[in-house]
Amino acid sequence: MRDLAYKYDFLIKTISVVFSDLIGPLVTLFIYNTTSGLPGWTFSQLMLFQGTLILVMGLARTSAFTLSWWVLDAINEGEFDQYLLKPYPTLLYLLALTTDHYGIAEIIVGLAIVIHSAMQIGIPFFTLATLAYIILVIAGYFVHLSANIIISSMGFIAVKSEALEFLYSKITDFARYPLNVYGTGIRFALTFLFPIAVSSFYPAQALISGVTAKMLLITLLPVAAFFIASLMLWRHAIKSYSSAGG
Amino acid sequence: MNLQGNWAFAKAGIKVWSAYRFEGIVMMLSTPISLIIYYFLWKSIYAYMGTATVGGFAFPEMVNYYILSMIVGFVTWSEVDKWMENDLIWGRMITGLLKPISFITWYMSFEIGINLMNILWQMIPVFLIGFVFFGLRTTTAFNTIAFLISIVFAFFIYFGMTYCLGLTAFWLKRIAGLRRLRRATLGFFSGSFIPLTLFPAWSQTIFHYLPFEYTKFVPITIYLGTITKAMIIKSLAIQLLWIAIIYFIAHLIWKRAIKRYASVGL
Repeated sequence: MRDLAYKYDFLIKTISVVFSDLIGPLVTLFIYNTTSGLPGWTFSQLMLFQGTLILVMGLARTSAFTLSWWVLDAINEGEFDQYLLKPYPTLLYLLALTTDHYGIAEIIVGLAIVIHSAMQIGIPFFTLATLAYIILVIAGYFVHLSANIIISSMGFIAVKSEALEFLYSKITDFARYPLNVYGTGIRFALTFLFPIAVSSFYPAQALISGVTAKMLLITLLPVAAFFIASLMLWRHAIKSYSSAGG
Repeated sequence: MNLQGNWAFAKAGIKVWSAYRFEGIVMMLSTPISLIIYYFLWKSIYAYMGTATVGGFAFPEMVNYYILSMIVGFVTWSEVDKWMENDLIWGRMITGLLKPISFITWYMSFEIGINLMNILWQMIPVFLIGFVFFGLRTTTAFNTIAFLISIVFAFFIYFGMTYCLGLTAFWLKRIAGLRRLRRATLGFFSGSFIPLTLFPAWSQTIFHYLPFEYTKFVPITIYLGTITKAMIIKSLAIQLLWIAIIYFIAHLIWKRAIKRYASVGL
């Protein structure tokens, strides 16, 4: 809420978030204007892909990105103990505390691009594919949430986690383009090890060409494993924090 | 000029960088990730299209473009608007005014110190990775020297624009949003994401009259030798002209800002 104290800055920040998001679609437009585009993707399909990424990033910005900054800051300033004393689950309380309003603008922009390109391609709205899309978008959000929980937890264990934050943003860049442009090794890593491809490629593909229950399960399992692993790491980190006595 | 003073503040920048050297090293290790992404992206685009050039670049040149884009980025990097915003908000600006060197050179020396470390720890590794793994080619002596001069000019243009934005904090206090917008705008219009030759023709004409392309795209084309010698000389002259314009504007804004600062006493 502190952001609202500076109304002008709040407005500019919202504009800047939207402008940064539009760079992806603009680059897509320029690439399709000057080349035959990416193999396996028409212009509208790749716009749907970019819109999906913006949507997932918007969800993650609303309630995940700020978490790690907040926790790392609180640890550094020695203010973390107060959160452990609250009568709520610490992680949920922190998530509620670190809600970011700019994400809402991002979600709206992402949805608008997705709906517009879905209509251009001629995808029917109320099908099982749409349901699979929604599930995968939520799963994509959970990938980012898990990554931020891991970064936060590392703040307790290692001293400096800002570097991890940078590495995370770099790996996220892989999600900006469809999986099929990369080699097999990278594809495997982005699906099973660090399932960041679920924040753009898999939902877009499910909506465009449909998905079987088996494929959906194979995509969702690594996300579930990643999320559970992050929660376990968080628990471990919190325990080590209290035993060390701050 | 007070070189001893400048060097003292450059050393302060080096120390700040060193305090975050762990970050620096992780960054050094993760920067090639961007190269890998662009390499695969363009490889599939060129393969799919079947023609030799896109926007005047053949595939190896396109890869060279992104390596050089990163290299130029390390030299021009500037977050002076962030330091200025924080110094104003935390009331540290007054110490800057009491330094024995001028306000702008104080910040500039500090940033040069940080960038010297960026060059050492990030730019040189990217150069080597580029040569060994991504086929970065060498260029003629003339182009190399012109490239080095143009990236120094590019730094002054980039720094000057960022500094002007930092000065607006005297009025607006919080400029985090503007800074974000600045980073996105400078990145996009200088050609960090895709070469400017892929932009629509009308916008390319407009870019010639704006300073953005001189902070990245022009130095890259100088290295790649896609423009003639005469054009290179002309580009360097235009860069100098932009430096003069931007620092004149910065001086004007500064005069108003400092009046405001003294009267309001933020």
